[in-house]
Amino acid sequence: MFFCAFLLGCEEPFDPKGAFEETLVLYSLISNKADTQYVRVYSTYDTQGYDPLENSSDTPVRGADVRMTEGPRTYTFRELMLMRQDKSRYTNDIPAYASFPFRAQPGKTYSLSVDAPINKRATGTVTVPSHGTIDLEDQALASDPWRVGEDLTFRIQLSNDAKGFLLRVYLEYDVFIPGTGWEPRTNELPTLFSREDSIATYDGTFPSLVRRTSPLQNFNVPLGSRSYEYVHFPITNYRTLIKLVRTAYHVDNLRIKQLAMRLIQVDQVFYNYYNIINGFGDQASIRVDQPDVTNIKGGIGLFGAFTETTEAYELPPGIGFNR
Amino acid sequence: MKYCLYLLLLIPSRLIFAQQVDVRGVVTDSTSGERLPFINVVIQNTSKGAATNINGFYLIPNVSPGTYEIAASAVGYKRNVRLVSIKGDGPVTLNFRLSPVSVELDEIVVTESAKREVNEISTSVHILDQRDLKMAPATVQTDVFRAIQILPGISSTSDVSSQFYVRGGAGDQNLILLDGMKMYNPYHAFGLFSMFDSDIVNTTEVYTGAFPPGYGGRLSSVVNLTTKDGNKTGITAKGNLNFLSTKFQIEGPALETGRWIVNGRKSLFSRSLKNFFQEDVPVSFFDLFVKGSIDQDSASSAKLGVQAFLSGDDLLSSDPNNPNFRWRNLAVGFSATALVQDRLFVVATLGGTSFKAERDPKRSITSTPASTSIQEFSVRANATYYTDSKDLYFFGFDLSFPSLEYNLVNNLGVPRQLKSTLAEVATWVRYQSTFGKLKTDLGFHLEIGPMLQRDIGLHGIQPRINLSYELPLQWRAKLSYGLFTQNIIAVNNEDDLISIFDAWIAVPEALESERSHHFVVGLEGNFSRTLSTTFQGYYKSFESLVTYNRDKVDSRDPDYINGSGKAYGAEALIRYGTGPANFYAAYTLSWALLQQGSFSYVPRYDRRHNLKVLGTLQLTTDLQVTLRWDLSSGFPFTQTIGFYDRLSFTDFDNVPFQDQTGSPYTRLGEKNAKRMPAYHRLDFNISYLFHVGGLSGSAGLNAINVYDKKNVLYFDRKTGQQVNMLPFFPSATLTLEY
Repeated sequence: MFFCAFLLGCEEPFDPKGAFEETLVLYSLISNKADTQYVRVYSTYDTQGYDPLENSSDTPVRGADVRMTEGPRTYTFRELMLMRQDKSRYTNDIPAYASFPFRAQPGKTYSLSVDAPINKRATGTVTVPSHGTIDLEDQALASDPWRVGEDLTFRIQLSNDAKGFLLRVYLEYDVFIPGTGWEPRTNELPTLFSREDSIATYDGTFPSLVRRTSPLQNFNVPLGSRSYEYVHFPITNYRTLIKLVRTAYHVDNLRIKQLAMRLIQVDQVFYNYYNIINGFGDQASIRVDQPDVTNIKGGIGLFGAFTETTEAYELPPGIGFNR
Repeated sequence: MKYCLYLLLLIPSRLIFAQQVDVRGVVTDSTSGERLPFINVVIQNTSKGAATNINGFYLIPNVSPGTYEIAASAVGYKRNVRLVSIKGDGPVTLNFRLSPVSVELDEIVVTESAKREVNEISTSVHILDQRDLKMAPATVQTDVFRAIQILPGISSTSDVSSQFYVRGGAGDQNLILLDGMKMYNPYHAFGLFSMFDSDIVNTTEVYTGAFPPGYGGRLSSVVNLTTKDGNKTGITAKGNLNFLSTKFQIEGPALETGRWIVNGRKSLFSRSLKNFFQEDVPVSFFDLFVKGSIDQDSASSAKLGVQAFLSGDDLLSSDPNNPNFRWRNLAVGFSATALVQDRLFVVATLGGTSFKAERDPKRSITSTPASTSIQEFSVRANATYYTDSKDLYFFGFDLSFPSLEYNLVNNLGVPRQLKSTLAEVATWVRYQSTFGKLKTDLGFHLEIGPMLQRDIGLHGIQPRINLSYELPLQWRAKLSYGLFTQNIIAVNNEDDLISIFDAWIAVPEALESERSHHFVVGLEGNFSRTLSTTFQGYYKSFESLVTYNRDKVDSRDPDYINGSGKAYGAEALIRYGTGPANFYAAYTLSWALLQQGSFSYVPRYDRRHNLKVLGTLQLTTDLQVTLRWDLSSGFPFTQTIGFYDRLSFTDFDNVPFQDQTGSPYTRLGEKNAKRMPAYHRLDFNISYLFHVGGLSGSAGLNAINVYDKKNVLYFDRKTGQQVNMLPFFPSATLTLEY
């Protein structure tokens, strides 16, 4: 027994940190919204101790060959520097890779490849969701919200490539500013008001990214209500928003124009990533872990995509004047 | 069920053997009046005999009229032989009072101690009485859970936690009963002690697998503690002082047939450990046990008892960045045992238990507020029916109604509350019989509550099979099988290396109950009068376990899903005793694996090798030296393999991601793919018993971790703080008894 103890008495080394292997970290979220697309290329890092905050300098990978391909087309990305917004941790500007002009095409599949000078290569693929459709079910209610009605209901048809979506609705109007002339203004319609004292300070709950509930259209299900998503805004919120605008400006200085809708559809990987790193977006969860998620081969990070689809309904200029 | 019981009671034994009668009674300790379990009572020069049950009751059926010498004997007690004349006009009540004697240095106790387990039909049962508990060397003070961890198949994750893991099962899969009442998290802070002072425990039954009908609701093991009733012969007081705690115990008779016992402990941790470790150890605990009972030596052998148990722990750090923890346990119960008919012995308990724990994060950035509680009311009864042929029927029921509450602030900062009330209603029937060399113990445990509440279907009908076949030279081959379900689980972060706060919840309604099958084979026997051995192999199939949903993405995905798992291994137990020296060694080779879809991993309590060695040397009748050495494979853990800054893409459709700064994120390697260093530790104890006038007592010197092995207890991957288990720690203890 003592012999065993003697043999084993030598302290075995214990290091909770495994061998550090430098790995590429890629971030890119392409869309049809802008005509410049970006890729950020980083590497994982190690620290002397165990606290990642010990790392005081960013770990961008410079001089990488970054490309995106879609069918026969190749987009080459150039390295540039972006001004960092939050300098509380790192003070240097942000090296990134950009391609211009490059607007991601809905329905197309893009492949990203990054060859880094640290002899690492990482790739990823994403399909940009096709455009969806947005229909306001009761347009008359939007034009005359004080008639009998409960909700502003929007019927949405999603792309097969979208796992999640987000519908934002805006009231668009022009305001006359003396000396300047007419200026366009936009206010987003909340799903719930938490503050409604003025148009400048109103606040509330706004739509967030949600998972699709409708089946994919090629799933052989009969077209009908099951193929659509429905998004509802209480008509009272719509009335309140119009009232706030009407209260803020003199009738002669205000031209209400339209109800604008932005449908954002995101691909599956981005949807998963976004939710997982934001506490699963689940207010009821009792999980305290934060799992990892990536679609990058040869590295980690995210290569995601979203598509923005817009629609608008013209509103009568006199909407809400007599209220 | 009701009709079955009537049928059992109507077995016409007395019609067939009209002139024969039963001999029955209780066996007690003459100095304390405590009822003694597992005492052999034999009618000399016949093949008739019986052993007392856990309540000290025995029954020898169908004894023909005549004059007999009937003897009761056990290791550590003076053999008591009574001359009895049996006339055949009714059952004979014959109670024994046995006088304890010092174990002679040349007495062979090893094989005798092993004998009762060999004689048990179950494969995986271990029975510890007061003597066994005292044999196991104490870390500082004798402790029940520390003592049972020397048994094969049972392991602990650390020196400083008396929580244990049995045969690849999780820590929440152990059913712990105190006088029939379920106890939750019965561990004191810093874990050197369980909640139960060994001086209040009369008998400890431990089932490490395939437990018999009557025990359910847990997947892995049963620890059934029966408390002492108190001294019936006179008032005695006992006090103990050691570096870590102080305790007192007073017991005595009351009225004509009553007795009582009061036992309390209070930690001295903060002061003494701070002096030794030179750092703040902000731990304190207390426990208090009170019991009063009335018993009769009459024909009914009846005993009534009321007991209450209270304990509390505070782990209050003076560092505002470290969270505080508190937990409290309360159990109040009423118990009754009696021979209610000629051959029907009933044990019934009525009780309530309460467990509450809370975590206050203070200013900790890695912790959130949380609390958990369980309130449970239960009624439990178990009856034993003795037949003519020495066959036994057992049947009973357990009605438990736990209410669980878990409050926390989740990762999104949202307060959450989970509340549930379960009806854990079960009934059982069990039959023990002998067919030549084959002993059988067959039965069913019916989980009626879960069958109605959770729709567990036929899995609520749980067969329990134990077979024991006598081989030459009194060796026995054994085979056991059982099906078990569990509906209450403890949840914590699977990625934590060690967990201080475990919250209890009901298995989510959308999920299946946890379910496991146990298969055990064993071979037990004595190579010689001085060498007893047990070999067992086991396979546990966890058909259904509640595990993290690794594919959870959003609120539409459940936090937990059903996974599966398996555990298997082999155990060897050797007891050797000759003259003043005794030697005990238990070795376990085990594997555990959890599976979730195509992903499988070893749980953090998987331990490949585990060797426990215990040696005692009785230098004189009053002086004993004990050495205990534990050697185990390291536990699995997940390595940190780097860091990166993770972008959150907040407001992604309006705010460009490309100029955001990410949040640091720890990248983990393959889950539980690495092992901590092997654990080993040598403990030493020397104790001396003394008697001065009417005062008796013991003085002891203990040394924990004699060669100061730096076993890793805890590593906080967020702060880099590494804490080792107990270093070399000498202590002294003094117990005085009057």
